[in-house]
Amino acid sequence: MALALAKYSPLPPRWRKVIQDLWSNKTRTALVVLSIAVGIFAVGSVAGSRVILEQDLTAQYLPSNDRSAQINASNIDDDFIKSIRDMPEVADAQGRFATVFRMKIGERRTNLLLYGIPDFNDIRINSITFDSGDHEPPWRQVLLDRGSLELFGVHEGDSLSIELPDGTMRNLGIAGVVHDINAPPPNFSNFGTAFATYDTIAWLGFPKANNQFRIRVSEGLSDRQHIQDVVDKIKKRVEDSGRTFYGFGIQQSPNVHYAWDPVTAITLILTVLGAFSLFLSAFLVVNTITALMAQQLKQIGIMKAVGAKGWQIGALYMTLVFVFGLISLAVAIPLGALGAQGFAGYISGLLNFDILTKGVPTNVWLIELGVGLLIPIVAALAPVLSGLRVSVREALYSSGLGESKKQKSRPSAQPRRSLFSFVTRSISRPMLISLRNTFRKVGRLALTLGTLTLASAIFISVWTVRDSLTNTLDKSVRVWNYDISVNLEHTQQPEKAVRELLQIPGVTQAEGWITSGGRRLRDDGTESRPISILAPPGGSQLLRPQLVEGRLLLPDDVSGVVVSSDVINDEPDVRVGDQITMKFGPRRFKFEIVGIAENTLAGNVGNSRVMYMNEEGYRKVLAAGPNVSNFIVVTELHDAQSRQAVGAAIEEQFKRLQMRVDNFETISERRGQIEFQFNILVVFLLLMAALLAVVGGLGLAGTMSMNVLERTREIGVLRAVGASDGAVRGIVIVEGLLIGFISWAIGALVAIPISQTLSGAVGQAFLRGKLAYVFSTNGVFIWLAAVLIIATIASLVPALRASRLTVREVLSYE
Amino acid sequence: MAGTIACLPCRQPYISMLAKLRRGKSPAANPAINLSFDGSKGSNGHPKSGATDAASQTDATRYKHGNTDLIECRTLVKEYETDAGRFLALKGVNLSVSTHEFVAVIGKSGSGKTTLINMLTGIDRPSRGEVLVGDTAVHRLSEGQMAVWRGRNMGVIFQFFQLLPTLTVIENVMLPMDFCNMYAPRERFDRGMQLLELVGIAENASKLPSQTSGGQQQRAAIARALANDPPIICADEPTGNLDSKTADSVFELFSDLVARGKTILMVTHDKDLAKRVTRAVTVADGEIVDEIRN
Ligand SMILES: Nc1ncnc2c1ncn2[C@@H]1O[C@H](COP(=O)(O)OP(=O)(O)OP(=O)(O)O)[C@@H](O)[C@H]1O
Ligand SMILES: [Mg+2]
Repeated sequence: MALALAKYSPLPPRWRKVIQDLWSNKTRTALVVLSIAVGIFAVGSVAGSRVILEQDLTAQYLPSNDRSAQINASNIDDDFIKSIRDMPEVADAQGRFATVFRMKIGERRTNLLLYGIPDFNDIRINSITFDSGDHEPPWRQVLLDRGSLELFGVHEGDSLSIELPDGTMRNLGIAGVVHDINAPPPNFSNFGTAFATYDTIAWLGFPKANNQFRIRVSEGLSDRQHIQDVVDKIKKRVEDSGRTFYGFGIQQSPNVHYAWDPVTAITLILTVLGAFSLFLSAFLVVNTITALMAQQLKQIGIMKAVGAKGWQIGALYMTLVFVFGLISLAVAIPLGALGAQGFAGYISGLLNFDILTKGVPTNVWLIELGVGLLIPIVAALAPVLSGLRVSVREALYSSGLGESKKQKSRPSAQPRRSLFSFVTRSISRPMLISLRNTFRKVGRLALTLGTLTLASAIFISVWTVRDSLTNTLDKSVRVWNYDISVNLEHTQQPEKAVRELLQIPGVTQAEGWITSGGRRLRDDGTESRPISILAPPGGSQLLRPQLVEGRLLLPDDVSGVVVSSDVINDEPDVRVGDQITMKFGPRRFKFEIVGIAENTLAGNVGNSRVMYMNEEGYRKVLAAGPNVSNFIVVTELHDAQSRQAVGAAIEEQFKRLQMRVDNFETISERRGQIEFQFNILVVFLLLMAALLAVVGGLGLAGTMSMNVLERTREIGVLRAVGASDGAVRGIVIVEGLLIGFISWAIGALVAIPISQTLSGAVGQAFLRGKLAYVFSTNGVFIWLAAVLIIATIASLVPALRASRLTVREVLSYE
Repeated sequence: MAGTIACLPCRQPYISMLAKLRRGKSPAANPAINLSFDGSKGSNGHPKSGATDAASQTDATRYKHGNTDLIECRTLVKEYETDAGRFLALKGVNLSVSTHEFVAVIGKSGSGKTTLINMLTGIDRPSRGEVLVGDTAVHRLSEGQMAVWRGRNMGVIFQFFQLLPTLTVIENVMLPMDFCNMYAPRERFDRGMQLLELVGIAENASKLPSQTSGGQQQRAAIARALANDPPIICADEPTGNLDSKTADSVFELFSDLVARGKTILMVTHDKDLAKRVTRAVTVADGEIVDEIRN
């Protein structure tokens, strides 16, 4: 009979209640789940990509047997290499030939790094993998690094057209594609890499011989100082054997891939930001569970009254939270894996290596699982416990809406309200209601504000980092008060070259600069890392180092020099006013430090340790000849295209004059190259900031819908006294906007210390120095707009719900 | 109607609360006992009615804490802290209720009836005095112990039904069995349905409380109070929100339960109902001022 109506279900009623709580308020469930999911996604994708990148980079780097050092010298025959290999400190040594060609691909100028390899079947140091085609390139052909295909816009079977120093053109066929994990990344360096036999090298007009050799030390592969010591010994051998030692190179961090440091740095910074979003999503859990416990106070009382133990009820709510975590994980883990693969794939593409890991490594998976389940549970613990502490009587006889008597009679609420009524006397009544509402639930407001404030602060900080990077770049560029730097293949008399340059249309000013390099000879006899010398004519207005300490060069300074901050970072004992000894090859000279200048991001010279001096001084001290190869040009127009056009014109004209240009670089190009790298960083920082903003928005949406739910009765009353749909919606939206606005204001303040920290970290990680910090007022106002939009969206759904409440629903609400 | 219900199917031994109270032993030792609606108390382990009561009183059989009656309140005082200072809601109440009694608590609004009942069910604690129910000193139980004890020994019925809104009627009835782990999980549904039939709302079993009438909700609350087969039922104005006809049938149901061995305390405003119980206790200003035995 009637019994047929009800069906037996094996699910115990209390667990049915959990499902009901999940299901009956889908908005709540969706907001909490999404919020946690965004956090897990952020952490999962960044941490995942970090693990993948590190794993795969190491897996491809280590087998390549990267050099500990490369040494350029004359007459490196097999016997000599064998004698080096026989040194106990040296595990292996191999010779090769290396040269650089300038390439023109359409309008783009790029470079080709061409290696001559004695035996393609025996590349033991910096070995390459063969992707397709020949394993040994035939005569007049090369194997091209796969990263260079795109740079040159070529395919296997095509050919590369190169110009020899004497002006003849040669076509090099592409016989195969290889992967050289240690090749300079084409995207960042504008260098392609190719390999040829010595026969081909000879065909190109070079001697059929090594011009460098690479070594691996037998121990202390990661010890830069040790490698330096070994190189010093080798250098002595080179010189003792009557050969000429041209130079050497040691990696910044030996025995790790050059991209390792920046990759670990960026992924670490992003992971920290990701962890922030996960942390913030916990705030919404706290708010939601607090509200839930308050709403269900009476239900808790009933359950206790019919015999439920505290822990049993606690278990119900913790299960609910656990399920929130599970659903979030179900959403976030696959998305996080996609994100991790995407990010890792993008970065590895930029840096020319492969992602071999499929999906996401187990440990990342476990971290996601751990934090995804643990964080919500930890967040819910306090509200659940405090909800359970309420006695049965209090629970049963409360008004049921979580407004305990304590809160109502809180004395501090009074002055606050009167303050507000004072402030808002002239504001419309619905507006006033919003304002009062906003401050009603202090704890919830604090957490929501906390979430949005941190999101604001980080967004503004990321924007500040972006502006600071640009500022750093601007400051660097300002040092270079010119348009084009031209390097000639052979040194020229400056007067003659400048005269010719000034003849070229568009050129308004030109100077010849000395570029050179040396090392500091310390008092203990050791040598510093290479320091570049940049010596414009005395009184030149085209180079303006930014002074940190001391003074700039005067036109008549002879042995006075200005060094960049990085020199001081390396040589901390050096002070303004000190004499330092510099070694140029075997020769030593003394200079006086008159000032310290800020580092520049790049420049006419390859490193940031720069010594500025007057051209005349350099000549006098070193007794150097008059000819120079670096010419600095100021153009009439300063846009990228005009600069490029003038550069091309110089190249053409100088070719005719038999003063061949090796390469030229416009300031626009230099700037663009650096900006390109900065932008990658900024985009990822902004992506993380956007995720944080989403979490903040979800938190606000959660708060607003809780507020609306709890004020159902109040809204009913408003309806009863004739509030229109618009007015009811307005109240909710104004409240949301107000929270957004306050979080923006506090966030802008909090952003000051956070952005300084973040700028510091970014500067240290990517420039090994400080950024020229500027607080981004743009960021502040962009975020104001963003937060107001976010707040409007976040309160829209709750607002619509509020305006849709019928009187019947309001009355039946309990 | 209720009288037509036969002994509930008993597939597994479960606890007679009364027996437990008397013996203070583990439930497993007890023979299987059901809500004994067939009236054959002697055969199913419930203590003998009438005669046994008389005997227990004449023999002065004592419970563990020295009480001779099933329920004994000794000089119960309940103090409330209010803004206006201390307020005495109960001023040293003494009350004894023996098994199978049907006691009505009457009195003006604000006299302290709810406060008194809440002391017995353990929903609230006395400021001073003792509440002894069977072998249990209720005022000394911790919150956790209280929940377990109440779940198994006290059927609590509130003035405003207090069903969980998101659970169906049958699920509400099954809830105490679920929380107290009483009966085999499969048995709980059958038992719940039989209790709903007992209170006459089996056809509403799968509805949500909000889809049923006030009277039906109150019956559901009564069925829930009976779920764990507690020996004692405390009801705070169970008929206060019902029309007189429905109130009457609820009262009939209570009388029936008493006849079948339950002890019931019921707060009521209804003077007529008060005349039909074994004893009516009048509370005024936190004190018992009158007792009528019918
Ligand atoms: N939490 C409390 N704090 C202060 N005073 C209270 C509290 N709860 C009840 N009281 C007071 O104790 C007295 C007894 O309350 P109680 O609820 O027991 O009355 P009642 O007899 O059940 O009344 P009613 O018939 O209206 O339900 C009342 O005067 C009441 O105001
Ligand atoms: Mg009452």
